[in-house]
Amino acid sequence: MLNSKVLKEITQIVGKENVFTAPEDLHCYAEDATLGVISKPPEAVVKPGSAEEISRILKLANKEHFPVVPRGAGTSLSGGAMPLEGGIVLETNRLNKILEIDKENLTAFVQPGVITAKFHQEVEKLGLFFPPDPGSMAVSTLGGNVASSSGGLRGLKYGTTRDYVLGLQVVMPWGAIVNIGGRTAKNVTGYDLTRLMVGSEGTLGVITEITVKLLPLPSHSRSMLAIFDQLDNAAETISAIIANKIIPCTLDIMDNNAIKAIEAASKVGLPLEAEAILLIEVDGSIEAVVEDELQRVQEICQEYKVREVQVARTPEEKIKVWQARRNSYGAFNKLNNTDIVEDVTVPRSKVPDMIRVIRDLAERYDLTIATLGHAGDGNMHPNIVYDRNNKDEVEQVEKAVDDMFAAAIKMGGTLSGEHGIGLTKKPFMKWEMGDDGIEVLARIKNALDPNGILNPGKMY
Amino acid sequence: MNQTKDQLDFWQAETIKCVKCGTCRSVCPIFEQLDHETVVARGKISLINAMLEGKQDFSPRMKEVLGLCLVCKRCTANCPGGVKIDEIVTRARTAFETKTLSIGKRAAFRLVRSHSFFNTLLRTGAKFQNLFFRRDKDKQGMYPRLPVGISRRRLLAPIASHSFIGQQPRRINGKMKVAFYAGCMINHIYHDIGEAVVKVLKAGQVDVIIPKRQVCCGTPLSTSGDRSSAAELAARNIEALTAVDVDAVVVACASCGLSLKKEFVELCSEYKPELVEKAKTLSEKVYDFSEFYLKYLTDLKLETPVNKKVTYHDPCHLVRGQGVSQEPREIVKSIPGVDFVEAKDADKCCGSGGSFSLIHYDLSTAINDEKIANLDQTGAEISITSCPACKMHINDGLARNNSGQQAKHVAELLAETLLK
Ligand SMILES: Cc1cc2nc3c(=O)[nH]c(=O)nc-3n(C[C@H](O)[C@H](O)[C@H](O)COP(=O)(O)OP(=O)(O)OC[C@H]3O[C@@H](n4cnc5c(N)ncnc54)[C@H](O)[C@@H]3O)c2cc1C
Repeated sequence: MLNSKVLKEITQIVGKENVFTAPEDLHCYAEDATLGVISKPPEAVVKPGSAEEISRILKLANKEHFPVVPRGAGTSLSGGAMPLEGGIVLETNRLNKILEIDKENLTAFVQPGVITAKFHQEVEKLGLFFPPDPGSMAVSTLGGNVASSSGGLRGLKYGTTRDYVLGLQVVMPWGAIVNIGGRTAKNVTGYDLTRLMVGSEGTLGVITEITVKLLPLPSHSRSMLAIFDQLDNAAETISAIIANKIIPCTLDIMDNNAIKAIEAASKVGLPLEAEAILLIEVDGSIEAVVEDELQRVQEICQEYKVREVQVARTPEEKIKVWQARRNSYGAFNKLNNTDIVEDVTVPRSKVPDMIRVIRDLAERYDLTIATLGHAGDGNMHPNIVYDRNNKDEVEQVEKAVDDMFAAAIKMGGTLSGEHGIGLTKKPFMKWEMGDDGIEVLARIKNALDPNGILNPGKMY
Repeated sequence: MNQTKDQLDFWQAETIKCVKCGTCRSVCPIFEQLDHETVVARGKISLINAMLEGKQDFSPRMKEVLGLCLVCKRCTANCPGGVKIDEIVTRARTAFETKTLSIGKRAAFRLVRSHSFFNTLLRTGAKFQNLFFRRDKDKQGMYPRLPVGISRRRLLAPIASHSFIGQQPRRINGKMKVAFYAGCMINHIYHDIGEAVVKVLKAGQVDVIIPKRQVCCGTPLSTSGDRSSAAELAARNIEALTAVDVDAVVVACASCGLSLKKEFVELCSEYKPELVEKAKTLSEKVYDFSEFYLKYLTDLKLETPVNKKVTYHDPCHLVRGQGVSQEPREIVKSIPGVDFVEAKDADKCCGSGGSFSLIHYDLSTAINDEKIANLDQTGAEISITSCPACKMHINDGLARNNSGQQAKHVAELLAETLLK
């Protein structure tokens, strides 16, 4: 599809040093962080240096009909950044500048290739706060976060990326460079195109600039581990905390399999025989309020028969545990050669039910499932760890995933809370959206990208 | 790869442990410069996996990609999956062992292979070095004049006209018995580090032996994939260092220390199984200079104060290779007059990577420039480190950046404070 003439034109647009076609490079850009799916290499990797260059590439793609897959850091867990039909992978890493941090208007203006954690550091230096903190933030890009509407550990109180995007510059599939949304806190001009683009997974346009809203950095935070002998008690505690009108910024759960794997990998002193641990953080700008919430959370834990509560005394103590939690993805793979992380999300009150469903599925299909989750917002991450070379086991995994999705949807939940649909959850979209829902997606896609050049084969 | 099937299966299983989470992207100094998926651990491991599955050729691009690693172990130390990335990469290099190496590298390796030849040549080289190198204006080092396959801009420390080992008396009497393993850089370039180590040990009433039959530790060979030759050198060192009756073996080079402590055992289990036990016995006696000092010599009186601001750079093969980071800092802080300041990213590679800096001068320089900026930013007058290779590369960078700072080995700083 990419004949030498087209390749030459692409090279003229971005420069020779920004086009890669060696098989070794194509191999590496065929994959993102998704496991258990077969990758297909693109025909070229292209690194444009401006929105204008991207516009010229998309115009060319429409003329010559080759697929374009936008890519940030390639940490997608749903195959979002994996090319399926050749064409080019368009990497945004050269667009990596923080253009402005506006302290007066509490906004920032960035390019899509900026690394999430670096952006956090820069705004925090100024006493400001950008809450979305996906587990991958040390490497993920803000463009990727916006395109996936990523969440993170602080989602319960602060919401996800979606809640912080005010405006975008997007190169549309036909090459137009448009500015949507704005820099103001309020904006009702036209359709809410910003929300349409947030979470569009690279299928509707290439994001080239992002305006985000910032908050003042909370001056106080306290965090703790609540260790339970019974999974059910931990699950009930989650609902009870929320029911008591406390919104911690983090309310995460890990089950016994997760505890064991994380402890083995990171040695932070987690109790190996505990059935469940809750990671809880409360924050705010008034110390007394934060301390009071900490106290009340502890009381609720006691009420639900917590075995032990460990409150972090120093920031280092907290960072150690949170870091171990962030590194859990790699840790699970020590249990077997493949780990798929699911992302089912249910209404908060259904968390105990969902945890029970997952536990039963593990038993019924004889699988190792280690569950972590941003339980406070109902977002569970069951990690199914299996041997991808064992055909029988792969089949069992597929059945368990089917059942899990069906159960989540029945509880009023969703397939994906934050990792996106991409490639891996596409087959289940119909269950949640129905034929008519899918048709709405298809009509939007066809209207904006009639030739299907942007990230084809994804989402529905 | 020129290894047995079991080993290949083992390494293949090891590559599969990579979950592609991409954490390596946040720590790799080379990725930070090149920002390209293929060169970061996640890409390399995926390619090596394809190579082991027979789906990837030993192509020139593959060789180039494998070459783009400093073996600084940062990815390995931070990998959530615990994948032994640096070992996988250096072993994959073995696949290219027999292919042509660039001239500079090949020549350097031939020198290492035949140790006595290395000695003679370097000694003659010292006499003629002005023919090949020009001194820089401050006489700190020299630039190559002729193209010898290595970059001509590289500032190399002058080669000493005698080897350190050759100059030293074989035995210096004292209470405890210690063998000093000098390593190539101290033996041929930085005699002052060797002399400082001996001075400190002597001051502590330690009986120092410098076994004459010690040879290169083999790191430059094993990291570039020539593990069989490295095993030959390991065998010779094991013989030389176990033949002497000593309580400890002291090393003042991070890479040599890593070899003696860990690599020899592994090399022997692959190539010289009959020596594994000896290698283990040896490894238990090996101390980095700073470890030995803190364990046995803290009663030494440090008389002459060093009234200076001092910072510390962690050599990769000491901090991650041997888990030693606090000991040298404690020593520096214990010296009277020293105002110790931590540098940003002190444990990040200086860009040397042994022969890496000879082949990829620009990349190595970019990494080094960042290191120099971090060291300079502390306002320190002296940067202390524990490895002669880091000392050389940092001094090269300090000179290039016109910094007034100076890099020294921790033993040199200690020796200065002992009463003359
Ligand atoms: C260890 C680990 C932990 C994770 N934890 C979380 C978590 O806590 N919460 C969470 O939500 N996710 C998490 N993720 C998933 C993933 O990191 C996020 O989805 C992240 O936002 C992806 O960012 P990226 O830069 O890597 O994007 P990529 O993976 O490169 O791309 C993701 C999607 O965005 C599109 N895209 C990228 N850039 C652009 C652009 N400029 N314009 C248009 N489309 C674009 C791509 O086409 C693709 O569809 C985790 C992943 C890993 C590996």
